[in-house]
Amino acid sequence: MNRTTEPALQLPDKITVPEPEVFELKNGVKVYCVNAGEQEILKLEIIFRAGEWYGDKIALATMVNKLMEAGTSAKTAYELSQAFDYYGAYIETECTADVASVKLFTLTRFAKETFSLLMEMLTDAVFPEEEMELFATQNIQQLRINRKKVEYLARVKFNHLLFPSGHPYGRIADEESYRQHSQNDLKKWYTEKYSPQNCLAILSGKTDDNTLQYLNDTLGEWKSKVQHQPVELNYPSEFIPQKSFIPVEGAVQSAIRIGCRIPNKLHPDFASLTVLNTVLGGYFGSRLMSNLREDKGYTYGIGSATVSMVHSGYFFVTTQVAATVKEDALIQIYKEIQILREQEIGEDELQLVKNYMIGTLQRSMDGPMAISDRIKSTLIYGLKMKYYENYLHVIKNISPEQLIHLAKTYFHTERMVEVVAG
Amino acid sequence: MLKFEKHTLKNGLTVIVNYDSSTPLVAMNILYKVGARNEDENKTGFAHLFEHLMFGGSVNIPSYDEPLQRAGGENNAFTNNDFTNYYLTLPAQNIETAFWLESDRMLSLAFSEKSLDVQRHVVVEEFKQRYLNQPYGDVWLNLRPLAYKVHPYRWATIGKEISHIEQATMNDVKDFFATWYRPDNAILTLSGNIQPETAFTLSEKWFGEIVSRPLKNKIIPQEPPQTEKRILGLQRDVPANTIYKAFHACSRFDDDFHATELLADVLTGSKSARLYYKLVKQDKIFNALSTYFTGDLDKGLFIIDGRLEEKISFQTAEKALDAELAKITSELISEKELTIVQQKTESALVFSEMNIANRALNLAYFEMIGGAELINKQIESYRSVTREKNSQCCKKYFQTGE
Repeated sequence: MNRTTEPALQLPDKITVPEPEVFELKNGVKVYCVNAGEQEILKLEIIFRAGEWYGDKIALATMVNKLMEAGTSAKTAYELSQAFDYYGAYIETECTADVASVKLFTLTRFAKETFSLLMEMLTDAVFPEEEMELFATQNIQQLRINRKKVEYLARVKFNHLLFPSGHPYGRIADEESYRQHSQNDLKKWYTEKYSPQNCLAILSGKTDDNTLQYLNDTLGEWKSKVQHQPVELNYPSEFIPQKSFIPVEGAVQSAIRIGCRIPNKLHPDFASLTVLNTVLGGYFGSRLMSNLREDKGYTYGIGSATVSMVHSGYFFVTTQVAATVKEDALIQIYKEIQILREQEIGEDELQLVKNYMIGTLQRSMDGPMAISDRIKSTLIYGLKMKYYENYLHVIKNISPEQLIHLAKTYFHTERMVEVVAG
Repeated sequence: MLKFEKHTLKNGLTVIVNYDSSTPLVAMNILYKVGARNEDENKTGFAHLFEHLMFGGSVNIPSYDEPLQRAGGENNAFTNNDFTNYYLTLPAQNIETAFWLESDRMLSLAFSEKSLDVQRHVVVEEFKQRYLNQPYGDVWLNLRPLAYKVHPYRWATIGKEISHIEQATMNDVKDFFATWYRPDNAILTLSGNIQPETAFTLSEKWFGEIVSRPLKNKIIPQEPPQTEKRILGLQRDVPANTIYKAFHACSRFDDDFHATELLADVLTGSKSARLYYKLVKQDKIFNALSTYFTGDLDKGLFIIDGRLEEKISFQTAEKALDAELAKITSELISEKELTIVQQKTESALVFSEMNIANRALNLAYFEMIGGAELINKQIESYRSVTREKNSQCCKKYFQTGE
């Protein structure tokens, strides 16, 4: 048998991008529904425009999001947690700079009971002082631990330099951040932001005949207490390229973060930049991994990414290297970025990256809950799932000439933010 | 209920397939029954270092990753105390690429000096990143040798010390491969859009000719009962004091296994779990508190891991912990507590079945511990745990004097 020749390959021309069914509940809340999968389970995610972006107080958005679980007027935190537990259901809250959400994971057969509990959290949370204090002490201790980690130090400093002047994407929480908000601050945010006019819902998994009815009887019955006021805020779109070094005594590794701002996925270049980034540091065989890990053994891992947020985007390289080689690591990273600007990517390498990205796109849509994440990451931009068809088109057709042009436009090695910690 | 078909090749390789036509993908998983517990005490960290070398090219294929990525695939691997696991996912139409790659590295590696040299450095950096350059990172490096005096669980998967990794030679690598990477010491599983017949045919084609080498399994020394409390105090520059309490618990094959897993949930599985509620929320002794069972093949540890509130002393914290453990040992837990942890475990199991890579891994794991069909008996096993069983486990583990 010939083991030296690889078996013939075939890549999908088309990827099935499932369009969710859209329902409007009695109160006008839109529900995007992916009814698929073999297992009798559901995920219901309710998303609010209630991230840090919409206010000027550090950590307030996160506190409200997390402390909705801390009890209602009818149930203590203990009772609420036990009530979900009793049905084997899980609640996950998540607060990014843009959106805050509450996710419920439940067996389909307990949809009715768990939807009601979820609504109780969304409409009747009371934010007890004692729970606020517990949240503060836990977060302060965690913050002290994080500050001992070079990766954390580099990350928050990097974000701060890239998004300066109080920009919500670059704020750094300190110990004070968790104790400066009153119960009234929390309640005010909760009432204003967590309202039916300010949310959308994604339901995924195996629904049955009654699931949507249950949702209409709970989420659909929600009436707003206050008129929702859309907030428009403006923050500087510029950053100052600079280098920053954070000394850490006794560190055996240094964390490195280098990057710059780029447009977000609303801009046609974002998809193309993602292809360029993959070549550089977006997969195991990337140039950064091949150079700094597989050739030099400087690090356990190095990667780069393009990040899209609702109001901006950025590109960054991240790694932790042996403290003794950090200077050369920096040289190598800049060298790899520079090469993208100067030399066209070879056909074989580009084809490999394209194939890998097509496979990744396909994996990212495997199963109803994965699809629901894709829906979320388009909906919050006002985009449709068609975005992914375009994304696939870009991956398949982008040329080495276009990529070198992109690198010259966006990746200027002398106009980066660089942070080294340790 | 997970459906699957099983077939064993003449060379001893077990192949298991779960067919699912709803996905365009296939996940392949290869589990080798070798982990850190099979290592020589003077050459620890070897199973894990070897896992890295498995990506350094095989006898006929210079690069493992490149062709897989070209086929739209993605892969990774992990090593623990008991086994080493490799997994990949790719578009179903390219599954033959996975057979080609995995069979070639089971046949033989390239054994390149450059790869060994680089991966030694990479693993040393991994050691630093995970265990040295993090607050509390070295806890397990110290806890293991305190809890185990004889059994190889006394060292961590990454190795006892960096020098063991630095001193690994090519001869060690070849010897390790010859001893453990054999078809009869491996389990191949697939989940996704591939018919069992196709998978069996491809398995015969690519893996069928790999010869099994004679087995020379060493006997693993078992840990004798511990008769006195062992305490180790570590002074580190960390923001908060922590206690790690480890109790010798049962093996994966023990009757008590499922009850022990549930016990960890009863204590700290959620915000309403009794230990968490009492010691974190009510009494404010701990700022963070969790309990878990290592669940290893041989006798594992039941761990309580707590970060103390600022002004609380170690004495106060340990006393409070002991009082709660004494309580759960002497009184039965409530019906409601038991129902809750059983219900949560059941839904966690159903959720974990969604993902094809998980399914492939779980099938391989259960085949290793006695038969893939056990995968469908899990819910029943957790359901049949009683309050009395829970109490018996507590008595065995927490009784003072141990």
